[in-house]
Amino acid sequence: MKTKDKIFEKIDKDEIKMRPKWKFEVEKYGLVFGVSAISVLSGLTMLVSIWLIQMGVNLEILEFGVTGKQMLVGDIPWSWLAAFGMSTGIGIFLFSKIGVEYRKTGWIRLIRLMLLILAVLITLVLLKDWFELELLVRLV
Amino acid sequence: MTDEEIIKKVLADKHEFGKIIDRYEDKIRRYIKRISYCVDDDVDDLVQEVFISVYEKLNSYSSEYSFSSWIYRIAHNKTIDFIKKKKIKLTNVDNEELFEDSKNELLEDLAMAEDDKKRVRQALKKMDVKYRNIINLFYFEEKSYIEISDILKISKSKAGVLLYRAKKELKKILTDEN
Repeated sequence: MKTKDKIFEKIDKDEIKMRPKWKFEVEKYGLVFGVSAISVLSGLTMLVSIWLIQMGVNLEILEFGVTGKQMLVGDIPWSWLAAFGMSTGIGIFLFSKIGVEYRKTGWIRLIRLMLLILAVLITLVLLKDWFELELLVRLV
Repeated sequence: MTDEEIIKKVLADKHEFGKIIDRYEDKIRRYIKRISYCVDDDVDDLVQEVFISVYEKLNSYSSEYSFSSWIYRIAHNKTIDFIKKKKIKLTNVDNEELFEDSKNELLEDLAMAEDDKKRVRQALKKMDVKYRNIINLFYFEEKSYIEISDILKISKSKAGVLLYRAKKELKKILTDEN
């Protein structure tokens, strides 16, 4: 019996079907969603922990009423939160485009893009004092 | 007819899948034999497994890769899984026919004479499977670095390094035999 016949016999006998495209899409985006969710959760946990530590140290400012609360909110690491949000958003976008499949050209482009994003983020964080006034206005 | 055209037909009529089998069966069989050295019955099973997997996953094939690389990738994964699972021992078969048309380029690169073919065949058998695999893909399947990187999911430069190391290892085995 030829291999071709054996394969078709097995396909018919075991009722093997082609998996529909949507299942592969769900798997792909499920993976993207899962990895992204883990990244977001771990990033947020870190940021909240930093904030809680700061809050623990500065708890006495709560005694100053509204002003104290405003100062406490001001202690939230907004610039890091913004940097985290931006980088995570871009990461999720790139991951959904490229996925886990390795591709040379995509990889090189990805590294270049990540370096560029990193440079922009570092610049933003270094210059955060410039934006602080605007941020306070927005908070008020 | 291109592979992509056949795939479109297969998606409409499963019996067209026979054309893919006709086109790739011999290549995949040789590829599996060359890297696994397993007995014919196991090779038969593996070939069937590969094509059934190709059939099941056909909807996941993306035309950004060549279909040939994609099918070799599946064959590679199935064979490596099989080798790991069964811990197969190399057969005593010399597999002469598999290397019959081989590959003067390999002999040239190793600075070996035509008469040394048998020694090279035996040495290939003793190699680590990852080295044997890359030698097989480059010299016997005549795949380019780009195709090898797609099949093994490694970078082009890594493929080059792996091939260099494989040849070094092969030379070492041949020297040690002397």
